[in-house]
Amino acid sequence: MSREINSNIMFNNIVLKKLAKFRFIKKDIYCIFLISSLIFLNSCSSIVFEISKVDNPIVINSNPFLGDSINRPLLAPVISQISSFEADLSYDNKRVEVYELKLNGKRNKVEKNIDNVINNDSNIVITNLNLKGTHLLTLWGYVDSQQIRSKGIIQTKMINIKK
Amino acid sequence: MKKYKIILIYIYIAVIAIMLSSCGNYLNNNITASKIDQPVSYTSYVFNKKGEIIRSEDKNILKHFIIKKRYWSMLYSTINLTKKTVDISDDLRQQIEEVKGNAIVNLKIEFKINFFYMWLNPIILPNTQVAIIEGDVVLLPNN
Repeated sequence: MSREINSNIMFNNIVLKKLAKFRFIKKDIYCIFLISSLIFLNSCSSIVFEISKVDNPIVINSNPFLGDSINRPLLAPVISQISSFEADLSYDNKRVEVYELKLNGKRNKVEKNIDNVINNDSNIVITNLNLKGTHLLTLWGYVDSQQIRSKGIIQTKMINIKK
Repeated sequence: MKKYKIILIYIYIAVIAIMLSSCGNYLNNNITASKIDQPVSYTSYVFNKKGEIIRSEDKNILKHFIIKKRYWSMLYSTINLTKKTVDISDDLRQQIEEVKGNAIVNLKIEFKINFFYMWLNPIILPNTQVAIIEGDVVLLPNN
């Protein structure tokens, strides 16, 4: 037991002596530069918005129909005229499939996913889905958080039947 | 007593450092495409003129495209050097016209930050954020 304590003290003494003698040399500066750049490289990441598990059209513009603008069917707002929604996700370099949405533009209020919004109804479509990518930076210059916020309109299709 | 004072000073410095590190500003980039007539879908589905959902398959794909839009600002996002909201309608229309397709599917948008500028101090140098827009131009049967 006493041997162990002695060896510990010896070890501590050696470390302390080495620390006391420590002076910055070029190698150390290179090491610090390398480590810090690795940290910063790690902190710079990207966020991807992609939807792959939904079987309905979700469009960035206002038209989910093929064809020319003259014979295009009409779209009518369905849920209290225009129901805007927000989707916030995510972190790191991971690819994110955003299908979790926060409805009514308010966080922590109603959380549903697109599947729930569409609910297997082939008449429901999401239009004008615009994206806003935000990177929050700290004063030291690294990314604190990153977020994609999406806003869109949930609509139902209404076909003009021409006889 | 002196030791306590030194410890208190360290605590103050630590608190100020934490506060400063968390009060950085943000960079953001808005992507819209409101002026394009053809459907631009995030999924591989669009409606045909009858209102039926049709799925685009590999054989329908005419072209895969990548568009990059860069946003610049100084003093974080206090001074905007480029527009915050970017309308990509013209770029998308150009992609469709090039191969004579009738829709864009599998749209994917990635927001990336440039580490080089970030690393070199975001306060003095301009910051930049890139939006990478990917998708497939397709020609789908419209019956």
